[in-house]
Amino acid sequence: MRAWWYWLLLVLLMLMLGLAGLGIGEKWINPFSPGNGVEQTILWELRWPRLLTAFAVGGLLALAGAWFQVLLGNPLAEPYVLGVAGSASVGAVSSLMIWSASTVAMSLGAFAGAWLGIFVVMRFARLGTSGMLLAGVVLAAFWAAVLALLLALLPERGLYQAFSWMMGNLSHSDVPVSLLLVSWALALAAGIWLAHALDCLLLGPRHAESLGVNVGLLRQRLLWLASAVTALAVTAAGTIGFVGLVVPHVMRLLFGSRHARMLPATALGGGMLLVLSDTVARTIVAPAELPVGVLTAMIGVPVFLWLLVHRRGRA
Amino acid sequence: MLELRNLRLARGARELIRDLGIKLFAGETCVVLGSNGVGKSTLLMTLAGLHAAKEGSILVGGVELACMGSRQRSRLLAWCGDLPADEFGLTVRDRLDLAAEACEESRLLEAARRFDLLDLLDRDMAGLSAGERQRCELAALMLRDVPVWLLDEPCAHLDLRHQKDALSLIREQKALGRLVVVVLHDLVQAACVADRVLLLDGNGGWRFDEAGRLLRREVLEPLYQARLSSCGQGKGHQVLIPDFS
Repeated sequence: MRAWWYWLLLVLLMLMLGLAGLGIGEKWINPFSPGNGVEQTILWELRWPRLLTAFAVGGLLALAGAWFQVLLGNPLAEPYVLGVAGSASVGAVSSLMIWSASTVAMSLGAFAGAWLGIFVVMRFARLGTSGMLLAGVVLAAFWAAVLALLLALLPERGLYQAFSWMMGNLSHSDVPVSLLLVSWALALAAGIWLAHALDCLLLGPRHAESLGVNVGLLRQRLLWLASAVTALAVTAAGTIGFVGLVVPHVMRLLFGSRHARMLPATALGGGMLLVLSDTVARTIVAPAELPVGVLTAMIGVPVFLWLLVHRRGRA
Repeated sequence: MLELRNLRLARGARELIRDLGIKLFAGETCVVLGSNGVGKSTLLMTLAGLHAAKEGSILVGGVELACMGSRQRSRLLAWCGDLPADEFGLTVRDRLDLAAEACEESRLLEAARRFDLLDLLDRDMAGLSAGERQRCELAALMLRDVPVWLLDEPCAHLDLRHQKDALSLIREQKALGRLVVVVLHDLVQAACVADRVLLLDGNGGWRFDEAGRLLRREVLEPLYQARLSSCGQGKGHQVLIPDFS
């Protein structure tokens, strides 16, 4: 019964955040009846795409986080655990060095970098989850070193753009909103399709296998799915931390661990956290903008810690 | 029901079991005995399809296990081994639900009642003691409608009353025509449930026979390298207890 209240709360929050995201800004706009042509342009060409991008990217990151946690059997896993964020950053900054100030080139570079990172880490998949996790951590350190080298060589005018991208930025996403929303829906559908197998995997690989799950195939699917989703999210918005780590845990605390219930809540919750963070990030020091990754951590972490203490205390 | 042909198991360079060839039938209980590290759990996992044998084959109902997919195996075999992971907040009810898809609520409650889990159904598994989690595994096992149960130390972590419950559950399977292969360390428990016994010596050797022929002091003392005392008869054969003095 409590779950229904949480669902109702989630939907109401989503509507409120959506309206706030559309209305609040340097200029207040009534989302239901924008006034003049300028307001309509701001609403339809700037705020709606940005809001939907934030929602889809947040949802994708949260889903990827939930999958990586189950795949690696590690509650501390998050979408960037295997070094995808590092390789994407290397790709983005490399493209900045070659084609300075081109956001399209940066996105393409990030996408190529993310997939390069995925292909490298896939080479270690046969080592099992702990081996792959270790390889991912070491590779992340490697990409961080390469990134530091590139940043040292980057001309000064490119540094702001690079740092802005690396800390997460939704203001100049070049990935079509429709592609992000379709990916969000497909990722969620795939998650629900795999929900029972994922539930079984929570018990550990042997128990899952004895319950009829082909664990090898499931892990392979999850690895590709989570990696592809992460690559898309990083390409669209840079590296945004904490959404993929915090949201799945919050939703497990509220909705339980069964994935048929928890994954839809995670996809919505991740989207909502990023919409909220982005709305605050672009308005709190307007006309300047804060990096959205800073806000996701500042909002997500206290909420997570409060829930953790509250729920554990009650148990 | 379950046929092992020339099965060879090894751990690294060490050969655990060599040319194991036995047949087990529906409605019987086979107890696997041996010292630590001789390959009892490895054998059970191999029978469950969770570990690959070096050589040989396993037939379940005449069909080779290696040719079965995970789902087909899960319809024939239930494995109850190490305690499951508990990092992600699954509740006892979730665990029981996962044991049998679309299980009736009344069956689930009956399994929970049998192992005193009714009050714990909504508790996080991480908050349970090892004994409570073992009871949860046994209750989950009750919900598996499969012809073969493979149990690895089902009485581990349990208090005396729940050990009795676990052994009763195993004995009841005979009437249901279910084959139970169970790894045990306690010879009293073995004497209570065993129809036949498989002894493993850890050097590749094995003996397989009626329980009455193998649950004997002269057979088991060299195997365990420990002194045993007889303390009566159970299920028609000697009940042996270790002499710890």
